[in-house]
Amino acid sequence: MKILVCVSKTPDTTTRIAFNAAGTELDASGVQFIMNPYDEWYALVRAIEIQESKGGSVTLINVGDDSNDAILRKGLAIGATDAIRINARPASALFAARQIAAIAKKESYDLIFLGKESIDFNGSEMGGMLAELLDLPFVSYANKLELVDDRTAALVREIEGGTEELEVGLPLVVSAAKGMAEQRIPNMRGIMMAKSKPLQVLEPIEVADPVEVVQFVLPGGKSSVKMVDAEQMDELVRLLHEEAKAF
Amino acid sequence: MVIVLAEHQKGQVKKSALEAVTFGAQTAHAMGVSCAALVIGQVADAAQLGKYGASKVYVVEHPSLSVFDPQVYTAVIAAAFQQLGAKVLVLSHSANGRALLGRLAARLDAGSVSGVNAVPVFNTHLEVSKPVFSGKAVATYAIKTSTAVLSLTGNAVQPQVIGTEVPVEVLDLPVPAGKITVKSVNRQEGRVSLPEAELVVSAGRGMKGPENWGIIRPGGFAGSNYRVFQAGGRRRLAAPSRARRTNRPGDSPQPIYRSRHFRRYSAPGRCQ
Repeated sequence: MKILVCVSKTPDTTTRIAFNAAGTELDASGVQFIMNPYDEWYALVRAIEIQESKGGSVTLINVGDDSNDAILRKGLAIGATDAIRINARPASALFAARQIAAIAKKESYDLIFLGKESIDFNGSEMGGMLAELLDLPFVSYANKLELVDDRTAALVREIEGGTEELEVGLPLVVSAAKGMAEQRIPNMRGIMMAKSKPLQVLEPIEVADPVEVVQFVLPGGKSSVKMVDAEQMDELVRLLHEEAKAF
Repeated sequence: MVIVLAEHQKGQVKKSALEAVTFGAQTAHAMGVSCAALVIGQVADAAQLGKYGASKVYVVEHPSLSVFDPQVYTAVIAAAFQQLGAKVLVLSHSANGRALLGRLAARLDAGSVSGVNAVPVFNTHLEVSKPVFSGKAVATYAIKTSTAVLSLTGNAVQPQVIGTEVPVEVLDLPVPAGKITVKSVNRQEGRVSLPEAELVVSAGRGMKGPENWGIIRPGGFAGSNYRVFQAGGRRRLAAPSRARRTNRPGDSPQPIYRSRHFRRYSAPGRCQ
């Protein structure tokens, strides 16, 4: 079973978000970067679980500069077999998807995993793009995947107000949501082994970025609290109705 | 032309579809083009999409389309998009919309932005905005391609009636075979789904768990704050916070109504 896991680097969830003076880039000073939690906790761990039960390999792939090597090493420490980094800074999901698809087309991956979205841009676009570029079926927001046999997967997908149970033939692209797996912490043995696992760096292919961010803006400050006396319930109801438009 | 994929459920157009058509009509107006709605499957009230700004409603019907397979839907929508000479495709930022957006962007070689929260600005190209960093900032994107695929966050645009019902035209398009088998669909009936809710009451830790949501539930959706954010929830009221609150489930129902993202009103007292 050959499995590819697409991972991305994102700011830590506790990061205080700030931008450069022009408002065009994240101010990375003091920011701790991590592997996107949906990629790490759900996509990667489920891939490793399948590899542990079925054999085969788990390859990490990332599009980014050498500052991303740390997250790839962490992924190797958790249990991935090897890693590939495409040496480019993507400005759009389609750029990254085309880079990864160019690599994936040369290999015959049975499963391609990624997180349902990245916690920075919340796009949920990569999985569908990859699937279309590779002409593969795609199941989004899957919180469960079991292999019925070596060529068929049974999945549960989140939809509005419930779930769908699906069966899809391999190869397949899956975006993983909470519930797909339980987070794994790399142990000391994994950390030591990660240093010697292969991390291949490849140059990108020539593709254009179809979108670019022209401006980041921070939302306005919170308004002050308006205190209402406990005996003035009618006034509270009026404020909720007329000012807050709550009902 | 701007094409809006209008989602439906149980033969009725969804509220998110009305929002998307309104958004599509406003986008089309900004671009100086027309807006059309595209419906996949059988819908009884498709013609009403004209009231929200669609100058035409197109329907594609085929037995294979009764099951949602993103690969099949992508082929059909892309064929309609190209046949009609459209420039912008609008989807709802729903579970299906999220599954389709990336595929359609790659298929149409179009710039794409998911979770848009305002009508785009159009000069020589489209500029759209969306929340990023889990809502901590707003990003404005410039779409550099001649075609674009956008998904609209729920409740970002309110449906507006600006026209009348329009004729529905059936499109005859090739439908490829699907590769996904849907074994079952499990939906909670009788409750408003989070993306469709007009008012979301966000339950804080003081409510402990779902067993106590009946205090704040009547007629609406109740859930965790994070689920509210995921669905792009608007107009939230937060129930008791964990600080300094003596009201506990099992006591007389006396929640605080406190809006965390609009003006805040803090008052212990009786619920309405």
